[in-house]
Amino acid sequence: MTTQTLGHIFRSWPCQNAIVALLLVFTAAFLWKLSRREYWRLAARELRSRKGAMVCAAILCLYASIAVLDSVGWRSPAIDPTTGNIIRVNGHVVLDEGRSVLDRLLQPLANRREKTYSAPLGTVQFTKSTVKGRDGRMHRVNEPLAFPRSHLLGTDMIGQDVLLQALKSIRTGLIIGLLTTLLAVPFALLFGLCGGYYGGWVDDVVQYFCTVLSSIPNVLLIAALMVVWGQGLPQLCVAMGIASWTGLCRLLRGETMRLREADFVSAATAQGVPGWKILLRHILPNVLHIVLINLVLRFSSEVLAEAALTYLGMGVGAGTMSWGTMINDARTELTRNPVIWWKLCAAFTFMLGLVLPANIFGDAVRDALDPRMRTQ
Amino acid sequence: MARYFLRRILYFIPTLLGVNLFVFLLFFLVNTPDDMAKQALGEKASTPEQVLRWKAARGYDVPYFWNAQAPGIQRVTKTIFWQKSLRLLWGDFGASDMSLEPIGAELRRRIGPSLCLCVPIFLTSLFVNIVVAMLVASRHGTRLETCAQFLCVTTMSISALIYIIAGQFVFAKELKLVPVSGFLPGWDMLRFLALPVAIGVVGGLGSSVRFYQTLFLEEIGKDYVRTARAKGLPETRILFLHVLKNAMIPILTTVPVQMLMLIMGSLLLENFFSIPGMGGYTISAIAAQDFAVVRAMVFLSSVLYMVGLLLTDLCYALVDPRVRFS
Amino acid sequence: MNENETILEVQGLQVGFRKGNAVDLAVRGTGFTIHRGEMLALVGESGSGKSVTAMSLLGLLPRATAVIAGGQARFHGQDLLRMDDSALNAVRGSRISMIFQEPMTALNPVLTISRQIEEVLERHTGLRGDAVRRRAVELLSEVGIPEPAARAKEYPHQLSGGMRQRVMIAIALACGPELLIADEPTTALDVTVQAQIMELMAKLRRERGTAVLLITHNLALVREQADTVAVMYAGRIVELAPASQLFTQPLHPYTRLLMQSIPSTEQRGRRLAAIAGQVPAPSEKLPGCRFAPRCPLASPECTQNVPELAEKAPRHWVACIRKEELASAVSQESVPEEAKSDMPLLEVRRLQVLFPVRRGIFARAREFVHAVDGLDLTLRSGETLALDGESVCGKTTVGKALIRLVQPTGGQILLDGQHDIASLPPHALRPFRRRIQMIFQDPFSSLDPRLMVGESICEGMDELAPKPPAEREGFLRELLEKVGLPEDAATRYPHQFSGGQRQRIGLARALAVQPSIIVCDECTSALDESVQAQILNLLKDIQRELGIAYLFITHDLSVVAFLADRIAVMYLGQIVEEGPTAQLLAHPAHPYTRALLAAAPRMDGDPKSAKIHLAGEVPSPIHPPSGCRFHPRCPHATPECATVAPPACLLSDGHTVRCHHA
Repeated sequence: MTTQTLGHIFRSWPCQNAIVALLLVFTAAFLWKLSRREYWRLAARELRSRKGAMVCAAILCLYASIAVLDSVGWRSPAIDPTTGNIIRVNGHVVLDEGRSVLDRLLQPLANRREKTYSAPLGTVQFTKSTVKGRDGRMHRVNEPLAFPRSHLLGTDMIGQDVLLQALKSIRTGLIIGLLTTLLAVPFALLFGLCGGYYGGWVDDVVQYFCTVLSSIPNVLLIAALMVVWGQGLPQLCVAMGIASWTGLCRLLRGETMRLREADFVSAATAQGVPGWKILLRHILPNVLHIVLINLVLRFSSEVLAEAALTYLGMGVGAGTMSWGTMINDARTELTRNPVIWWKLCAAFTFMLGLVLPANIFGDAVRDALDPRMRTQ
Repeated sequence: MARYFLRRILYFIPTLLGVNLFVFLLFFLVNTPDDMAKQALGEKASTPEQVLRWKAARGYDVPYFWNAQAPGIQRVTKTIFWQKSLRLLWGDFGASDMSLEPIGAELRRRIGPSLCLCVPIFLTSLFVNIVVAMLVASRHGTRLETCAQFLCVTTMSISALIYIIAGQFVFAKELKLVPVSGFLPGWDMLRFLALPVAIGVVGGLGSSVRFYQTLFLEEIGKDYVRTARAKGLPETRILFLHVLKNAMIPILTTVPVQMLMLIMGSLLLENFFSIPGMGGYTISAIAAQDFAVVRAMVFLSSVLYMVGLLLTDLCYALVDPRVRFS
Repeated sequence: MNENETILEVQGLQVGFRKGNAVDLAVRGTGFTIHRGEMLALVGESGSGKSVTAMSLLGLLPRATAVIAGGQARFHGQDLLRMDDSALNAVRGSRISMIFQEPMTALNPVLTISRQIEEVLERHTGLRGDAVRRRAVELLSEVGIPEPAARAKEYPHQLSGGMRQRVMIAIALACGPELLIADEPTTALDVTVQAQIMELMAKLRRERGTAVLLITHNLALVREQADTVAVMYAGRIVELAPASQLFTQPLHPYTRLLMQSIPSTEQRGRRLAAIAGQVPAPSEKLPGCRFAPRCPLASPECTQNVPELAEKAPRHWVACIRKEELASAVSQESVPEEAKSDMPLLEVRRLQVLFPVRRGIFARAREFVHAVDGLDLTLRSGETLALDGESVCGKTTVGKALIRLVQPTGGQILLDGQHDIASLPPHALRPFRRRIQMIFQDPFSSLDPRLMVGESICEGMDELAPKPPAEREGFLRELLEKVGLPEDAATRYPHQFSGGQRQRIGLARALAVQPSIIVCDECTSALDESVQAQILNLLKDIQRELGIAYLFITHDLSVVAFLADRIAVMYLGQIVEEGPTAQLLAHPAHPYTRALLAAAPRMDGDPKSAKIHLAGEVPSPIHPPSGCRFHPRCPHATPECATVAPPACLLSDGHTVRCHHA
């Protein structure tokens, strides 16, 4: 199957590393190009003058760097778990699945496996087990942990460190939040600008597609796509992207129609500048802030949506670590007595830690970029 | 005006056909009926005969668009597109792929509980959100506004799952004020619905209050408010007559779509609280890979959405004199 | 009651706006008194603080940011500035009422107009129920709204601008106020409608003895209407005098310059007195006279102390320490008029632009807006032709059709007598694009905010007349110098420039492709008088230097009188009269031209001269009247006018008119 081979290549470390590098370079280049433009410099200055927004930006950067560390990695020689030696087959070193930089950094944490639940910073297992005592009788005791006081957020049913899971979920959350919008932006830009600028039948066609697509409620459209494609992170991103581009497209179309009537566009037309150049030179830069505002404001709702969708069985699936899967696990844990609360709390805290700064930063970006939308 | 609506209704038809075709392609382009059968029967366990039998029982044993073997009109009607997709247009939802039960009957049973849950949420939300937003907007520039805005952002930043899980844990499990989940008809319903309704209202508070507040502030900044002040009208009258009447136009016009969408139920709340409504039906269909049900739900919801849009236009004409008299 | 009873006495009023921790004063100590039945005009350019003064009297400034920093406003002995809300609310709308600039937005769009009048009656009078309704209809008829009972049930958007302003006046007068504050009440209206509204206000003033505080930037209007004039500059009153005295003998250098900056026929041979620079921002710290940096007579002393308002002549107050030496110190440079050629450069024949009105089930265009309908025009090389008319007469559409921003639906546009550019396809049009350029009305939307000024200017040049990089720099520098902009302007962004400077940039952009015709679409109407003067001077200079022909589209007859060689008056898509400026202004032949000239307030001539009042407003261009389009409003209309469209008839050399009775 070609799609499977493609998927294989896509998931391989060199490819992933390249994608991350490309994204970082692209972002840097984009920001550098913007920073040379007065409008964006002013907006950045405005943004910098807000302390709250800068704190939020710092938190977001922290999350982003963890996600980047979790996205780059390499394969290293496989080690036999029993002997601790490198496995060789016919003298050739065998490579393992490969691990990300974050995995390698958190290796000590991953190594501290317990048998089952333990409370945050606990010294004994949370559940009692039956142990044969010295007197030969069976006792119900909380067995001591293999690594006491080393699990900041406790461990889960199979003894995995919860902090580790929460950290590993960051990558999933960010990928959902960013990739979804990044997939939607090119379509929204292309159709929105063309529909708004050229009008006539082009606009009619764009409008028709937008109406058809947006008439299906987002959740159900995503549900349908996920049922057809099966669960998984890439599928979810594409599905959410498809469900979300029409809104931005409408917004861009409206703004383009407004700009088309602006005198500076008339002046350019009167000076013989062809339509495509006007679109690129005058209209695109003047709607870019809308795209950016949309991207930032959308981000947090996509992260939240992932959790709900995963819970509903149309998300990233059980194999991928995400806050959605963590919350899903936590649901049954809450019904136990005494309650096992730390997994839910960890997912909640880490999610809030990302979404709240993203929302505050998003508002600040909107205010800095679009004074018209300011609530004043 | 009447002509305009006729035009809107005529535009409705191609859009409906478009959605129908889109949904059909969505479901049948990637997954052939063979794939569906194999998925349902289990990838490895299925024999070709089983697959054929599975398809025949569900009417998937005909061509997609054109049945050359069939006589007369049946060349068109004895196809998957006709049977499975076009029939949705006149409300014929067919049968479930899994249980082979008719979907229409199931929907009729489930609409009631869904509405019992969603209508109270919708009405309470509308009222609470408007009042809170008006309160915040009238205190523009004060510390109260800053606090309210921060609160809104914070409540927006918490996943709906957390609200539900925490709500169930605190109010049902610990305080035992209400049952954890379930649904009974009659007066008992109140006990079962109190918590989900409260959670539904609180969950949507943040974003709606923020949205309404911007609408109100935008109106407060307009010239006619200055005129009203220059007339010597008291501030409360200005806010609750002049401003609210104008701001209600964008708010009310979102109502028809939302109201029709209530029928589709709430996926999360129904699932958590075991309410036998439409949302729960959709979720179980997704879990069971029941394509026929998911298809029906997708199409039904898009039809409701489009009817809602149509009503929105009508609503505009009702509440906005600028539209009514043009 | 005493005729000379003082109604409002404002002293040392200071109003500021909070910005961070600082307060920027927009009004820095204004004082004036208004007597019963008097009309006091507060005149000034934008940023002078005149509107802020008016709004602060009724406490209408935004509470969150505005601060009353000092002074008092005694209304019958009570200080308006220190009243609590309920006391102020009792005064607002009943004893002092206000009308605003934008009648389009000042009324609540979702309430009927009768409801909006009834509301104020119910608030301040004991009237209830039917009595209120009857009173509202009465008020509507008093302000001259035809069929008031039927109109009362309508919503604001169903009325025209002039009608809405009448409704505003009805609301303001509902409770018989002693003082009416009118904030730019006619700025958004056409001159003929402005004349109607001003006449209505004058009549109400005569009949009721209402005092009026008129806020405006329009000196000519003040000259005709006001009893007393207070000239404001940067938050202070610089001169206060009876209107007759102020206009015959202005004393403050600002007032004098402002008056000389207003274009008129008399100014034709001269350069307008353009005041250099701009009104200082409220945040600017100037210890002395705030006009000193722009004043040609400023001495070092002027920048040290704030000049007090002192009574120089009886009832004539001036705030200038140098007022003794002011007699004739401000002079104007004169410029010789040049003879213009007779070469027709652009001929427009039977030009027609129809916009479809899409209605019905399949959105087929069944009706059309007749924006331009059979228009003939000739523009000679190097001349200025003014296209004059009220709003919706289609004059802007003519401009856009000439540069093919809108596609003409009929007629010809002949360039050099041979190339018909009306119907050329886009690619064939390209060579002619550089011949005709345009300057736009709104200086804030005419430049792309994301492009540097240099990029904007060079865009068309790179497209139509590319230059090698070596020459490009020099050419750009030359252009900037020509339009009076600093050299570094090219690398700055539009938001760093003022309105007037942006219009200069717009001119530079047009000049960059070396056109022979520039269409100026209301290009000075968004500017203050002193800045308008700068731009008009510049346009004249450029024309003298480069011989470019201007098609100057405007509604302002005073600009026309100053700038134009010939005038074409437009009404509902057609030219009704065309002729040399002097000839047409002195002997207008068409009744519409006569009405237009009479309605426009002027700085020359007798301020109390009789006015011809044109009834009604311009009809809808979707169903233009048959025959002569002006006949429904024409005082001389005969049955013939309603059926036969009048042909153009030549009155004298180059003066044509389309009227059966000329």
